[in-house]
Amino acid sequence: MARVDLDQISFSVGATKILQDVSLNVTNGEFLALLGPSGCGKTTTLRCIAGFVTPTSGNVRINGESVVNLRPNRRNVGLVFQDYALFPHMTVRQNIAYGLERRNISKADIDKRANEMVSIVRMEGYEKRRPNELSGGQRQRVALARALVIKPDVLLLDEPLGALDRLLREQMQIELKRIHRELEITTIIVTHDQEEALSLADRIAVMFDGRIVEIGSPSILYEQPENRDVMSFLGTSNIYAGSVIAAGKGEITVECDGFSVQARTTQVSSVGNRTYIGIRPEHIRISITPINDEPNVVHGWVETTVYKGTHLEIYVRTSADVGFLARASDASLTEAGKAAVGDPVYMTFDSNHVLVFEGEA
Amino acid sequence: MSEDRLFRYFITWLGWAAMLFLVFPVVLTVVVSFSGSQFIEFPPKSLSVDWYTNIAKINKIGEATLLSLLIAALTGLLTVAMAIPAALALARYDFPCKGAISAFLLSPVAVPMIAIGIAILQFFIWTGLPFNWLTLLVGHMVLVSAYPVRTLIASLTLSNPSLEEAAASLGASRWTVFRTVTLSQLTPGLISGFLFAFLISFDNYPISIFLVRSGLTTMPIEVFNYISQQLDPTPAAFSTIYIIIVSAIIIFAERRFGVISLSVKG
Ligand SMILES: Nc1ncnc2c1ncn2[C@@H]1O[C@H](COP(=O)(O)OP(=O)(O)OP(=O)(O)O)[C@@H](O)[C@H]1O
Ligand SMILES: [Mg+2]
Repeated sequence: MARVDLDQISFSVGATKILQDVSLNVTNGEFLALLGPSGCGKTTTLRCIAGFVTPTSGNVRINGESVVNLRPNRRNVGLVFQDYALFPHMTVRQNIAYGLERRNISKADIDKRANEMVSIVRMEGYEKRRPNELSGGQRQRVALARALVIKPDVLLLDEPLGALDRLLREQMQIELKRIHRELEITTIIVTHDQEEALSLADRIAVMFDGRIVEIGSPSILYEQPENRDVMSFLGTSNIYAGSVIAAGKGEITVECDGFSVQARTTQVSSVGNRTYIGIRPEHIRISITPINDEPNVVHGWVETTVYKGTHLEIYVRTSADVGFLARASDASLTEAGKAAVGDPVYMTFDSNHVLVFEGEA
Repeated sequence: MSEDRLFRYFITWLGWAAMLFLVFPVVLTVVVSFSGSQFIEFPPKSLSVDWYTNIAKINKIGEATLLSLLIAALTGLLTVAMAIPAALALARYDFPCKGAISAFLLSPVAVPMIAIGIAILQFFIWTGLPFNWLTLLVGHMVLVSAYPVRTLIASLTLSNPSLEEAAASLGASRWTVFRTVTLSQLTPGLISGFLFAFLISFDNYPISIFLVRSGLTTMPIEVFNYISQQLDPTPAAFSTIYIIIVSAIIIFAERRFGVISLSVKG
């Protein structure tokens, strides 16, 4: 258990900047997700912490001590690779004991700790198998056990569930949470799967193009992101450009393409400002009868509906050819469910649920 | 559709023709070795195993084979040992002039053996070193050194570099990583590199002929000498034994370590 701090690390190869001023403070026992699209520098960030990449500038500290000059084998970092990297010539048991054998630990203690770890990851009975005789999920557990058994200061997981099918991935997410709770180990998980980040982490750091653009709890990041790209990356969203046509205290009206929207905002805004607004699909209510008594009503026609089991997705197009995505679940399903393709509908949403991204236009 | 079929027939027959082309000399040698005739004739009119007992009549054959075996084994071991660090550097690290160094290490394959032989001969004459089995060994090492480098690079390229990183992050020093992880990944490359080096050295004639002096002689030289004086099938009998032993070794190595795929991909 330990804290990890990245102080403005940058990394370049030649003229290409791969990481730019990445700062991150992960506290004792925290579960942090590093989320971002492919190629944004997530793996490189982990490799800086593990010691396989030396930042061009900036500092990496574990428990307050700078580790940039320590070789990987001196850092006490547990690393789970995307492809697991289990030693193919060793059994499950030998894989798990590998890190212990590199330390000054008695044979009896090695046995005790390895057995303990085998049962934590629920791999009893598989000790004598080789990695190629295991399923994907089992390999994942062994890789996790091998990294955890050395009691690392920090556990780094590089898309550990990427290679698993959806059902197994969800099971392993629950396992990961359980193990994290039991061992209270500082953990950084890299993923490009936003659902995984939302469901696993205490905090999420979103990365684009070698920079961390926003850090926060899953609910803050999902419901009140400050960055437009973060909003569109986390889940689905409706985002439109517009300009402010009225600004009152705490509330503005934004004129978009063929419709206008009232939104609450803490930012100071003045008429004429260019801005972006964002609405989550689940915050849009669909009505098939006209609505007059609400501030935010947009009229359109149903383009398609997609049944998703737990909810219904309704694609609506306005007369100005602007597309909306609405998501209706249970209660509203009856009302929205009546809407057939081509039907006129009225979309309403709370001004609290309209996010404003100013100064980004 | 029919064009596709035609193409397949063509490729299949081409494949069989190539196989025949490769296998024919081997079959010929084996068949001739059991011939009853004084001369090499195919197909043989009568059968005998006399030529096998006649192998002992090849001048110094025992002594020469022993020296060839010794030189081949040492050549194999030493070049493989030298190729490990070279292959590691070329496969795992970036450094200036990497391309040039790599081309240089692999170059003996591209130079005619006679040229290498003359060059080594000139070199030893220039240094004034005595010609003995050590000079022969060095000559063979120059000749075969490229093969283990190639097979080891192939092994390393096929192996997953994150295995080594995993070992390091679990606390293994560089040497321990090499000993416990890299080496086992290298096994097919080591075995096939050794086999290439051993076999090329063992039946090498053009380099050895420049370097043998004062009573020193190798198996291929004596077999060649015999052939140039006699035309009976004794060398065929010797070759048959040789073919059987080498085939057995290669089959074992392939079954156990899968070395052929390496040499093909390399
Ligand atoms: N050693 C290197 N030399 C040159 N470019 C590199 C090097 N390592 C990484 N890159 C580049 O840096 C960028 C970030 O790579 P990184 O592997 O960190 O991405 P990632 O966020 O983990 O992506 P993914 O989700 O696909 O794994 C990529 O564009 C990659 O091509
Ligand atoms: Mg990655």
